[in-house]
Amino acid sequence: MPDLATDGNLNTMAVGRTGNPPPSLRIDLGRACTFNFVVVDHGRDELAYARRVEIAISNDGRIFSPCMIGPGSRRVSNFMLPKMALARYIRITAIEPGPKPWAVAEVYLQ
Amino acid sequence: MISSQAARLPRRKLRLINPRSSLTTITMPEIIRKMTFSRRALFMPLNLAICAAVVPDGWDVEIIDENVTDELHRPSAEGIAAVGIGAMTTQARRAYELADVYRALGVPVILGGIHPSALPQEALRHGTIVCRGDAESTLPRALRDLGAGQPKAVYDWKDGPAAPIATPRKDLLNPADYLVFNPIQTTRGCPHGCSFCTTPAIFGRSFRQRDIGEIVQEIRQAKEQFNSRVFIFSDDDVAGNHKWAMELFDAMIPLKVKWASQCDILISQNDKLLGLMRKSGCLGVILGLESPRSGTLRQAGKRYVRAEEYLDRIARIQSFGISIWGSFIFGFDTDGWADCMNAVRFAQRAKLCMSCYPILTPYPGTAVYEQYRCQGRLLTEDWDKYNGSTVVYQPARMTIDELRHAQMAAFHEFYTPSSSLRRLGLWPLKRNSWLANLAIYRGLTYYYSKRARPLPRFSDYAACDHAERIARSLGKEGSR
Repeated sequence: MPDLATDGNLNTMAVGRTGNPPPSLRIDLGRACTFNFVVVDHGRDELAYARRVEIAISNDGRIFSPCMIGPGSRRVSNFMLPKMALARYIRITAIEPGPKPWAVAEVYLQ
Repeated sequence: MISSQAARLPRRKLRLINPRSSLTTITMPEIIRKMTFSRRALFMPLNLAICAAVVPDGWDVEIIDENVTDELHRPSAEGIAAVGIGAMTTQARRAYELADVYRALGVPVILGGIHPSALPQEALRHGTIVCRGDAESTLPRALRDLGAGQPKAVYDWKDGPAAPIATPRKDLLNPADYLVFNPIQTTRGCPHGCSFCTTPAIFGRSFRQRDIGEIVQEIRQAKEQFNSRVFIFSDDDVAGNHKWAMELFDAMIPLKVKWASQCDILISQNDKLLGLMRKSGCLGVILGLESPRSGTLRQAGKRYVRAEEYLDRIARIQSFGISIWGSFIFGFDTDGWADCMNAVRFAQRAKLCMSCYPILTPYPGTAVYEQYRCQGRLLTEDWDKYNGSTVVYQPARMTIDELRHAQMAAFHEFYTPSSSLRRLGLWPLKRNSWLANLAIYRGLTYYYSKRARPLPRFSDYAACDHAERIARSLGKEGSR
């Protein structure tokens, strides 16, 4: 339910299943946008973060190129990309699970 | 019968120590004494006065505050059954030093407060016992077990029944040493969960309120005993529960006192609450605004408000005659120097009577600390430097010097007389705000002129030789 991570409502959450492949969230921005900072808000469950997260981007929604891998953290996980990205699609993957199943209440791009 | 039994029990003595804080050095004791009418410290150690109030029967208590003595405390085991030391992060190094000496003397040491609560394993390398969280729930258990010879290593406030917030024992301290001798705690905890804040990190988000009758009684007593008329509520969010806060403020109206405290900006949506605040004597509130950018607030996990609403909300609070002291944090990952400058411009536009600009500090226990540690961005774990004016992590969009310079430029530009005039106006005369603004500006200019350094300005960043200018202002010219 990736829509729940982009509906502007912090009370609704997209919850990832554990296991293989690792849970990921793919968001279509509607058009190519520039951003270099990704904020993943874990909503009401502060511990629903992943220990390691991969951020990947794509312009066609099929071939994603990884931008960075970084640690998640309680309540809000922040990821600063090494350089400005221009892309229509973003994929956020919880490559190492955290203490609880990964949940995303909202994603903000800056 | 009870008193004769108590008389037969051997009495033990607990020594409570407030360790010297490195903040005392940063704020320069001689200036503090001038600004505080020869008082030695700003605030009395409320934490220890509360600890003293909750010791079980059979224990006597004394309090030693290293922040009001010229000499550091010299540990001695004579007549002491246990030592309790409370430590914020800036006090941790000194607290551990004292704990080591006392343990070497054979005296059991109980460590408590924010820092030992966040890092109990580190604290246990120095102390015998660590009390995590509220002292009301942990210290009595620890002392009883210690008296019985079977103490545990860690007492966690979550493991026992919740105890009500205690009324502090102020009789163990000298009022002449402190500018604020009667801070009143009305609530504990915070209903919000910002990722940089130690309060939700240590105490969770359970928000507790004290018995209103006890608060009123404490204020009355302070009025009678010390002739206090102005009170500081030393809370994280005095109006975190609007319904309860309205009951408290209503009960305070007959007391005819003035007060100030910290709270969140959501008070702006409740006119009845604002009216009662004013009627009960509220002079002003400290608001943690953090940043005028919504993106930064999201990054900080500050979810309950949008920055776009700040100006309207601030104006609403000010319309009730309540002054606002804003606090902005510099150094979030999206902050550049221009964002810091914009925070100052925002504070000026909002006509805040006072404002402060601490540097983001990843205090142990917070999500920000864990994030920076995982990213390998912590530059030091010298806890003395975790003081809000030292950069202890690698900032993302500024150099360390740029961030430090931004903080000083913010203080300078916010408190210039022309900025004060724009914010405070001349009539009606806000005498106390004017005095505070001019005192801070005078202190800053004195500090820089004494060291023959140029005053920091945001325009330094736009200059071709900006690195040299920043270095000169920070007194690092020779080291470049």
